[in-house]
Amino acid sequence: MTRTRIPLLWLALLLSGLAQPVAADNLRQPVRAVVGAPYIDLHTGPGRGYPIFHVFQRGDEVEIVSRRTQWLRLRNDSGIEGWTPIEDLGPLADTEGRPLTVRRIERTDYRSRRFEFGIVAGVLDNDGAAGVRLTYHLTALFAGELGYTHVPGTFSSTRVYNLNLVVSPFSHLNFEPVLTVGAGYFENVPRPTLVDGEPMDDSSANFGVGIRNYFSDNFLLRADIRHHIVFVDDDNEGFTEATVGFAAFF
Amino acid sequence: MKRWLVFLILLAFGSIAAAQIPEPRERQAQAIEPRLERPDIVIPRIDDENFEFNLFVGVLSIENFGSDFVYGLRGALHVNESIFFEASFGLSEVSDRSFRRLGIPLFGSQREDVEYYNLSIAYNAFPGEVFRGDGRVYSSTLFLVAGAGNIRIASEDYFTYNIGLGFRILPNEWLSLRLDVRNHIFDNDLLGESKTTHNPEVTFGLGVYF
Repeated sequence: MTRTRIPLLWLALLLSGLAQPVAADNLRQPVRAVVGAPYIDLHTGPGRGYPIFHVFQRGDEVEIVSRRTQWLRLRNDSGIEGWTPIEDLGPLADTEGRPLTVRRIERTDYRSRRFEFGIVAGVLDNDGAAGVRLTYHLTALFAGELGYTHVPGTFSSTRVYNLNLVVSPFSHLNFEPVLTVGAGYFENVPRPTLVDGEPMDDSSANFGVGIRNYFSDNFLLRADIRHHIVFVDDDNEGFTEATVGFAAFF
Repeated sequence: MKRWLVFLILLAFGSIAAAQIPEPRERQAQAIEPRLERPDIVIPRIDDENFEFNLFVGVLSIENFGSDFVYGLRGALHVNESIFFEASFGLSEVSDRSFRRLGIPLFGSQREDVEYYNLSIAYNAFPGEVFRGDGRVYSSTLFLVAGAGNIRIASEDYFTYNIGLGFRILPNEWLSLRLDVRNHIFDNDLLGESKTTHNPEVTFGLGVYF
């Protein structure tokens, strides 16, 4: 029963977190800007391939309605509305002539990232595993990571919860190697069809290595190998987990 | 007595130290007055719309156990114009009625719950536009999706891959209509022998961007 609640809980948590800023912050003043580039192309949609249907000229006053990934929705006073990628925006000023800056998210932001939300898939010993990782970077060197992995195996269903320390001594490299060490617990429920299985719930420790690579925008790739030691009564059991995944950072 | 002595010594050192502090820079004569105007840079607070929340209904077919109504929800994070992450959660049912007729019931009861979740990554492979009549144009995209997760059938968990494709139409800037076709692939031993099964799902979804 409690097991079925966990995905729901995750979703509820995710949604409650997302819902709040919308309620509190959605009543923002529209941002007005004056075009400084000779012209700005307006596309019909926020992505590559959408055709250009209109052009705003230097000196036009426009409203920045919203942003979707690296695209802005612009509208002028006659109600013409379209999308422009941030890199094509050129200089903008506010209505009092002060420069407005709207930036793309790029590699420098990766270096100074704080929060990271990742999803991973891989294997734990020979069983498939899927999980989520929430990372908070304290400094360039240290980060804390919360991990949840689900391993619906052949003989039992295992859930692994971890709190890890992630050390990144070479954070300036493109392929950034990391060391992880942490603790957590394994929750193991045998398949109901197996007769002699009984649920286990044991604490564990883990250590491992991994690699992070900045991909684009606020997006990174990650790969990890971790060895878990599960303290089963007076005996230790070892499991090796290998995962690949991707993460968004904020 | 001693305290007085310490005080005097400190006072003496203090006045020497104070005498050695150079004059502040502002008071020194400046050879050239730089005429720099530093305009205030304004960083506007723009409303981000990178999250998409979606409710879906459809049909999920479980190999050997027929097809049934499925419903659920998805949350997506749009990373850039091409890629988004998505978490899905779905509920359905299976029935072993045809096995019961043969006198070999497989489940505790004839109808059992199915629930699944998956974490996926999707790629907007073919962005485009659709036309409705002469006057209406909606932006759209055909995306490919792949991921991993779990499916639980009659209280047993099975590790599940999913692959599929979806079509999304944006009737306006905050609404999305979706048609998703997924194949949930997992190994199961429900019929006594472990085998890989393919379980297609077709869903229609209604979502909002925020």
